[in-house]
Amino acid sequence: MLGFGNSPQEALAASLLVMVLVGILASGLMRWRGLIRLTDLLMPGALLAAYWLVYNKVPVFPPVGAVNKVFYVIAIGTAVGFAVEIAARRAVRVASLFQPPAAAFYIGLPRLGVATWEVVAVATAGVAIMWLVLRGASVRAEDDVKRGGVLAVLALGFAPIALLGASSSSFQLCLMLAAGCLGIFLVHIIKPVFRFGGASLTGALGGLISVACTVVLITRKADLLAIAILGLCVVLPVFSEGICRMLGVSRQFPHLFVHVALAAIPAALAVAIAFLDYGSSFPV
Amino acid sequence: MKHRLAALLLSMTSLAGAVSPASATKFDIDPVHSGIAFYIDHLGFSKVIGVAQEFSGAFEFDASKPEGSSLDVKVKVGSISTNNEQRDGDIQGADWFNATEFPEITFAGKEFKKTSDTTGQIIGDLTIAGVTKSTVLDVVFNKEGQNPWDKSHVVGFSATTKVKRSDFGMKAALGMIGDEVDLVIQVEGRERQG
Repeated sequence: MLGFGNSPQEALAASLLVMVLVGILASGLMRWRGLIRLTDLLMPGALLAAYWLVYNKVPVFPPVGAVNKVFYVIAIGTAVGFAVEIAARRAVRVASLFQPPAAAFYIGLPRLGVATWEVVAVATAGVAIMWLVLRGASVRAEDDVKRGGVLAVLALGFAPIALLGASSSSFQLCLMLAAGCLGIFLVHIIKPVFRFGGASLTGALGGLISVACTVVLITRKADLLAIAILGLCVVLPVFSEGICRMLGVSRQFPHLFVHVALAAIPAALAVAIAFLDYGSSFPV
Repeated sequence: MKHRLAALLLSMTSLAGAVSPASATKFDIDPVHSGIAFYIDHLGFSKVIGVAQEFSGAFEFDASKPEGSSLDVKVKVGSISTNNEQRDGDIQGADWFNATEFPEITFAGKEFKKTSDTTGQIIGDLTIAGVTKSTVLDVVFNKEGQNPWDKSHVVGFSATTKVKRSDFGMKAALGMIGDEVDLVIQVEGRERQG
């Protein structure tokens, strides 16, 4: 990642810019060519690209250690999710709900027997997040953009929590995913033709959950209260329709804005709590 | 007849003992008089010093035949200290040593070379965070003899090496914190009794 700049901050900023631009380009090309089904691969693709930028490698298989396992959780999740999306769309929900416990038990394997309840708790939280994102899922492109927006907010909110939880790599990874999402959705803000399907669910959201599994179960320094509040990012947007009705908002973009803004409130609160709880100088 | 056979067997055993090479002495690393320290660059301004506080190991050594030596060392990752509680906690995480999954760093000597009367090299497998890399230790033989306090048989070495943390998958904060890590090791081995 450092090849991009003269300082770590410059390198990170340059990487984020690259992610935004590549997101716009890839998303724009797919929209232009009418490859709507393939747009499902954009978010997991952004996460895999972010992984490569952060770690400068594709880990050897079988992976050694949680950080390397995350890559394969994302890659396999993307492949399986996309295959299910194409072949049996009705099974997407089942595959998506299976992903968080599978990731938690795979990554948390060394904790089984030592702190099994922690692994079970993380798996349960992952299922709850996945279920809430899946809730009310439709095939309307604007709903898919909303779900993608919530995922981007989750990544953005989790980034500083990961940094304060002793994982600067997860911080960069999450920021880059959020930047990639920004690029992807800039193309779909007006009249979206975007699919948040199986690959996005098991590859991107599942991948983000696996990053959280690593920080919580393996590094074990994350602020659990902040993470619990961050989880509300997938709860609050449920009220967006009602709020829009109350405000008399009917156009697509304000709807999307309200939806994502509702997700951003707990994310901002979670980040504030993580900083307040940290109680030490910033880790530089 | 029985006595002649026993005498023959006895003489053969003695002969075998006479022609076999003298076995190297087994030593246990004395943690009280040994130490493992590392130096890592911080933004080019300074080298942060870290130490491993808990380690154990054993080696076999014969000064007349150092090539036949052996060495196995284990370092408890949780005991690594850099004189800052916050940082010490951080480096236990998945980005760094990943103590949850890999609680030990190990070194197993494979090849022992004498380069002068008092220096040598140990080529061995260093395993950190589940990744094993061949590593060369430059060793100085300090002294072998009797400890005047307790009359135990002691041998002492100093060793240095350089490793790249990125080789072991530790790529966090590269650019701010150096990739190359200098390792300085002081070992005092006490002959194993019994």
